[in-house]
Amino acid sequence: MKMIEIESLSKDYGPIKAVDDVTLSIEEGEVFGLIGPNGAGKTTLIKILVGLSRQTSGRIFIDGVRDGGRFKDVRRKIGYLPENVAFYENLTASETLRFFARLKGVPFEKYRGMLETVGLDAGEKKVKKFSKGMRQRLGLAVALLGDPRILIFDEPTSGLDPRGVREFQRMIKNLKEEGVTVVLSSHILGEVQEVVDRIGIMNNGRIIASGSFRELLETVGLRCIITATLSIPDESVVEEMLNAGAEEAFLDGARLKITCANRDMAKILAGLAGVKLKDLEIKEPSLEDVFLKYIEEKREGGGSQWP
Amino acid sequence: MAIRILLRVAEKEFLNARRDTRIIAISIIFTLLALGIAYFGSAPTGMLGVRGFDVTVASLVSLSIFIVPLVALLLGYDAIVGEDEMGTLGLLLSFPVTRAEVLMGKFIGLSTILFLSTAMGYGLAGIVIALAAGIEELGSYLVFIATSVLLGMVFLSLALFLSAISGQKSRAVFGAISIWIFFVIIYDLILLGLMIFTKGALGTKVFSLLLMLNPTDAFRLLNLLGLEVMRTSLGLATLIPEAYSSMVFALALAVWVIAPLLGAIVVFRKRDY
Repeated sequence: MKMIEIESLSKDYGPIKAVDDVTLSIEEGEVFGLIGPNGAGKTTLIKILVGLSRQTSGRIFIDGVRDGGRFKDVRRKIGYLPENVAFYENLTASETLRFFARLKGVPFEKYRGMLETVGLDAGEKKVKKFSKGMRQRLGLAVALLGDPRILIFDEPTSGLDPRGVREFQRMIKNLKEEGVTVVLSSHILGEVQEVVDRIGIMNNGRIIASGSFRELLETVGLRCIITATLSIPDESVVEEMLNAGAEEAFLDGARLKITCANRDMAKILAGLAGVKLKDLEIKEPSLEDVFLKYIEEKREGGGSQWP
Repeated sequence: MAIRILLRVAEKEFLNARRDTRIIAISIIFTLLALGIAYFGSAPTGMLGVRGFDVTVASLVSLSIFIVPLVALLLGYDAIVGEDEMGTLGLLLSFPVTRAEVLMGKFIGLSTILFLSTAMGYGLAGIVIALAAGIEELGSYLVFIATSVLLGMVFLSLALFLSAISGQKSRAVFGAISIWIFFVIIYDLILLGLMIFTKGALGTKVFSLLLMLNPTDAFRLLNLLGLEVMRTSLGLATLIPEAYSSMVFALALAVWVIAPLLGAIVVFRKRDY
């Protein structure tokens, strides 16, 4: 079931197209990562989704409701963590959570423990004394109020320490298991790669590519590089690797260098299992490599060879 | 419009502003000024000391015209644009609330603060007057407190409109100062100039209508018309037609509360955040 459907969506600010003819759909229970350089239009797209901005043209369906973000009943199903989340400085964390729980029409008592869930043990401290990371954790607690079916996070790990990032990733995985649909926009691509099912790359207001990480990797043709240091250099291993699917393999002294597509890596590693090795190093392309490849291509060509 | 949401937003607004030291400072200043006026109000007549409610009201009207609009504008100018700049508005509007509910909730919350500041300031002065000079003309004083709150609500409504249309807090500040200067200082000068220029050709009806276009004048007349001593000594009876009772000026103030508020809701609903 499609939870979010976006059809030919555009948003103009005068002559500037912040979002340009975006079409996208996100399934229920899917974790979708929205990535792109600064000013790509990610935040504008998210703001239209949650009803903070109106599109110039195009349609959005949220849980089957057209322009659902504008309607109170649909917004009840959405949890949103904005970029640079801010709160009322003179309220404490507990008061903040109580205020938003009441706005959502859910009992505060049920969610009182949410502050601990997100690792915030400063419930009675005024928000103005909070660090950026603490504000971010409070933002997560507020977004999770009312057990929303859709969660929209704009730069959710900004300000979190590595432990907080790990906890956040674990939380996303748990939410996914519960069938929650998550839209995640982030600059920190390594974190996105860890948790998402599919990724949409935005540039200049357009979605220039979307798919799973593996699909994107295959499309851009980035290769894995395996460097194995052999105990006994043997030329026949090169032949074995080429037969196993390596695109390139050569021996440089005792070091065997192999280039292969990500899909063939398992076969090649299986082939290396019978070879006595001193050392093994595997370099897989990251989402960052994929992203940069797409963006560079866009800059160089103006168009793209990819769908 | 859900009353539950209105009350929640109002409560938050009240709670957040109540802890704002600027608001507390203003309330204290308000109290001190009110007590000062109650005591020194009749100094021009060569007398010092607390006088009756009627004389005090006449003095406090001028204080209200200067202070209450200023406090109201200060309370409301950043209600929308300030939240937008601070980053809290986006989160608030992503919740199941309508923009009209948010705006009305803010208005109710800020009006409550205004009411408490005014009631505290003038209420304390009222107790001192009652103890010193008795409770004669107490009704006029209570009307004066109520209309002071109403005057504050007018400027709160204007401040919210200003806050909804301003893209930046600095512009809202400039707008708030301009509104205050225009209505409190410039408008009456213009009216005076107009009367001199037209050599009094403006009829009393037109003149009264022009007065109602300025909420501070409507407030002043609403209070002074109720005091017989002022009505005769200031010649108001000859300037203001009989048909223009206190109720007419109260109605003018009510329109001044509603119109900018409706304008603010219309603008707020259309804006992107």
